Amino acid sequence: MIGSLEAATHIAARVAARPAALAALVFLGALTLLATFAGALGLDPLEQDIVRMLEGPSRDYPFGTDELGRDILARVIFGARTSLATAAGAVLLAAAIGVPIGLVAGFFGGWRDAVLMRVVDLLLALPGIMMALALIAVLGRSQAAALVAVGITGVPTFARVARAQVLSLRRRDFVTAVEAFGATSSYSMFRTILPNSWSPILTQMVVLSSVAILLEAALSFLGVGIPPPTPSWGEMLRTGKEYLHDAPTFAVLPGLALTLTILAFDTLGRALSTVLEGRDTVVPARGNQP
Amino acid sequence: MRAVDGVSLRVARGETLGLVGESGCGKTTTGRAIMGLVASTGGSIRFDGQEIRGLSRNDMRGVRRRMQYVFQDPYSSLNPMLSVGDAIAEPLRIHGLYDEMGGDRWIAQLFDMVGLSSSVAHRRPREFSGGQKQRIGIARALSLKPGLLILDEPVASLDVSIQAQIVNLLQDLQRELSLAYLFIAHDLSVVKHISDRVAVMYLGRIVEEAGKSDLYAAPTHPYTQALLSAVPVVDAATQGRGPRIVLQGEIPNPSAPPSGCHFHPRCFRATERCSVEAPAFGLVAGTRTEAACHHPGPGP
Amino acid sequence: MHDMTHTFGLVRRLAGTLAIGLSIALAAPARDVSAQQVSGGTLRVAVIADIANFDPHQFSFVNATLIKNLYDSLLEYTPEGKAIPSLAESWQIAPDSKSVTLSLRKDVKFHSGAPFNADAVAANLKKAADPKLGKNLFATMSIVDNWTVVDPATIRVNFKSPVPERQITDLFQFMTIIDPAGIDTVEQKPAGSGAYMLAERVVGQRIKLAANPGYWRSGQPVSKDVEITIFSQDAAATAALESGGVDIIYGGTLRSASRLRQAGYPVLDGPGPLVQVFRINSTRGPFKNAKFRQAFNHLMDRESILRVGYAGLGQIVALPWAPSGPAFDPSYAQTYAFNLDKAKDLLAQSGLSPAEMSAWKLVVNAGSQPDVGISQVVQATLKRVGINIELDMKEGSELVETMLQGRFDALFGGVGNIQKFPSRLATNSIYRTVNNPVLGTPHPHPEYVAAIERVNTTLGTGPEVKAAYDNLNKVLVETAFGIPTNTFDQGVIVTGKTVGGFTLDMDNMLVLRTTGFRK
Repeated sequence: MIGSLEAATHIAARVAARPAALAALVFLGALTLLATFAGALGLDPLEQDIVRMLEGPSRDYPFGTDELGRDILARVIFGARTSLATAAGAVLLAAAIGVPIGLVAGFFGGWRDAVLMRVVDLLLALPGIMMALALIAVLGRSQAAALVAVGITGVPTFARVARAQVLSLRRRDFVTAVEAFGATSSYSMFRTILPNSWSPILTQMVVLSSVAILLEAALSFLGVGIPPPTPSWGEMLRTGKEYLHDAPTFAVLPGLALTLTILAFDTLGRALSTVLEGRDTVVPARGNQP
Repeated sequence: MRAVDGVSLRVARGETLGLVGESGCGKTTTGRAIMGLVASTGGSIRFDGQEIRGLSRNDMRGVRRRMQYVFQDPYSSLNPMLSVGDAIAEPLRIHGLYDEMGGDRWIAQLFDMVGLSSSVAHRRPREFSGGQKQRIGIARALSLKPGLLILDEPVASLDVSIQAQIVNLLQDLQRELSLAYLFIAHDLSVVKHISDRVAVMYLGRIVEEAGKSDLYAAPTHPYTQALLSAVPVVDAATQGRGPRIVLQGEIPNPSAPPSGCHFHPRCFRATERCSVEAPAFGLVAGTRTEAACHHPGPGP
Repeated sequence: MHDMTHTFGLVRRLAGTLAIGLSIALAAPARDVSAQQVSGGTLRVAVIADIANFDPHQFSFVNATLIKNLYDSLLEYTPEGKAIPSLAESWQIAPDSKSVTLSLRKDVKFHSGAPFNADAVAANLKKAADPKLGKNLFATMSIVDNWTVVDPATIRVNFKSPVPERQITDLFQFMTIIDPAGIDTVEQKPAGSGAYMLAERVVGQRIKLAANPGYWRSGQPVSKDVEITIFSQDAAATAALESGGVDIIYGGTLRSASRLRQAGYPVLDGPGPLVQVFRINSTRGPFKNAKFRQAFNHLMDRESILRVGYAGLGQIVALPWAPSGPAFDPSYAQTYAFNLDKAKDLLAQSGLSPAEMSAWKLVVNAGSQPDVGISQVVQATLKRVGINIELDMKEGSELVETMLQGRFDALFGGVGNIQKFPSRLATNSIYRTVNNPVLGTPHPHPEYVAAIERVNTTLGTGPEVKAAYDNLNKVLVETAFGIPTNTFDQGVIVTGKTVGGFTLDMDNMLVLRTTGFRK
């Protein structure tokens, strides 16, 4: 739905021209590769070497061991899987729910708009972490629950973005045209307006990813995230805090990984927003064309 | 506020009715109301003998197969995310008639009809010029083989040289396909070539309607006369035209129209009666023209 | 993956560490140190949790800071388990073991000035026997039928049936005496006879104690003032000790105790540890199978559990007794040691398929770092024998409900009072013989019920008593619905380098009457 491959390449090039964004892209790319092929690297995040628990960095364990003698470096790399997968899933869920809500609210207006946007406002008014905790209390603790909880907190943003897009596009002639041909409302919303809304939605996805990563880490830090022994950066911070005296370097790498990843997504989101901002999906200039 | 008041239009197959008026007179609204894109609060719209005003969106689907719309601005009337081939085919797909109407072959024919090569079907609208986009818009409007085409200022955004091409194309298509056109424009000169009949609109009301030759040769309503006098001609003397009429004042606010005849404040023939009583629309004595005027007659 | 040789290597390496740890643990329990070796001052104590109230019968660890300082009990135990007089000067058990006559001290006054006498004891017995007021004493009172005040200094307590001596002394060691006039308000206002009186309390922040001038133990308390400060975090208490801001940390984490010990601070392990028990609900899933359960005797990597959960401070056990407990048998730790081959053998004998063996979850106390750690140790060990389970993280009231209502397949849970009379074990939810909330009714292990009953009814001091204890031990490992892993302290005392003269309490409560500063 990006349009043509050429357009996508063009946008990517413009993003990569900004040094901070380029660094972010490289970092995230490397992280994704590491996370995907972690197994092939011969790292085991679960193997317990209890005799060597809470050690600092050494030749065998470049970033030391945790409270069960597990390799912290391995756990941080595998933890990337947890963070990235949960964030991706949550963002997709938020978009899948939020975008249709926004489309319907903006397209029909009236009572539908009023009701839907009040619900969205309600969700927006609740602090994300509280809502996520409440959802976890209902859904139990699991990766799926964390994904859903974080996803639901992202719904309002997508609803608002989609609604704004509908309001801005629905007076355009090509939208009216489709109605003139006899299209249903659903067709107008999802097959005419939505494809023309990809740029703000994509930007939101990237920006929201940074929030999702943070939220998932917060849930794990509070002890209600993915259950052990699955590694998760937030959970490593939680445990590392307990052992601060005994193993001061425990929490360093997970904390660094978390900070850099959130920063990277945020930077990328901003760059994308700036690059796509001037670009209207409907070419605005009316020139004298031969 | 009545954007359009008491408008009654008739178009027959193979015939073009030009609908002319200044910006804001309600002609676009009329076109859209007929398509059902704008809600109308009263009156009647009959298409092919069937009352279509007030039909639900679903019921209108069937009607919309037979009546289509060409938009004014070619730059915004095509979906930027679709290739032009897909854009032309879109009405067919919406009605599920792609294969039935001939599929790819029919699309290629449509390209051909509007004078474009079907090899460009995969390109995006932004790769085409204004004139080409308008051709695509016309091809799209024809894809369902409608009986009536409502054309809302289809050449207003185009270069003068291109305008002529498009108008010619439209005439060719009308002959070939026996289409009825409602051709909306703000400029009398544009519709002169293509129209069979012309209706002139002022502030939401039809003020004069006549066959083309009658209207251009012998307009009876002061407004029509003023409009015509503004149309540049090659040789005023040969064309037998009088002096230029310049209208005083500006178009009034549609939500607070003047009393009586809406045109009377700017009319060079207005009398007291005109400010009190709105004239009825009817046949002008001794002509085949219909007008709404207390003092219809030749210009100065 | 580790193989057997690697495991043995592990054991060899750990044995060295353990030997050191054990020897310190065994050397530490000091006896009742005489007052002359230390002089008084103001003792500043750091605790990590505030008390719940001033009721000494609310015995849970929460009030342990104050109970033995504000109150006295009828008798006490030495760390080796010998009963010695306290408020009761002497006691005489009837030949038929159906009653005991206590002779009370005549020179004791409560802080209010009221005299301590048999009526006071009677009033406390009444409270203990009341299901609403008895609190932690209520269960132990189940053996008591009634009592008679013979004279102001003598009281006779009658039992429902003959009771073994250790069980009798347990009862009176456990019973602290409240001033009868203050029984009704004891939760808000202390009313004892102990070495200290309450000087000030600021809820959540501090408690100050002042010496009882008329205390019946002459020369005590050695230190006239005590300031107890409540720290919200263990790390803060540790920092306070290291900087000289407090003299004693009571009830800190084992991890910091271990670290402070390495830094040269004295750490006292009391004789009253808890034992960590891997509790099995033998009415559920694969745990209904006896061989499957028995395999777990050998599936607990106790050394790792001790290291991970308790900083190595404690002792490996295969029975739910403290070393000071009468039924303690050190040979079981060898016979039922961590051994994957023996475990696999028993698993094979069970006849269960791998899928069946993995069809359960281990409930984990998500709020307890030791519990989370040792549960993962077990999970990893089980993986090595092909059993793949998930951890079910629970917290707070959800966890308590799950535990007390038996809605689990397995979970870890500490058991206390393991240095007492063996059948005391049966007051803990999973070890109950009647109305067991976890195992249900009828009890699925009648041989266990019978073994407890036998211990309860074997009187005297002859070889029959040991035989009864041996039988109970055998039944415990065979029924295997509770797999003990290690002992650990809840009331660890870490002191500044000049503090000395501690009286160790059988329940690991803080006793300060002989504590002072070495010159």
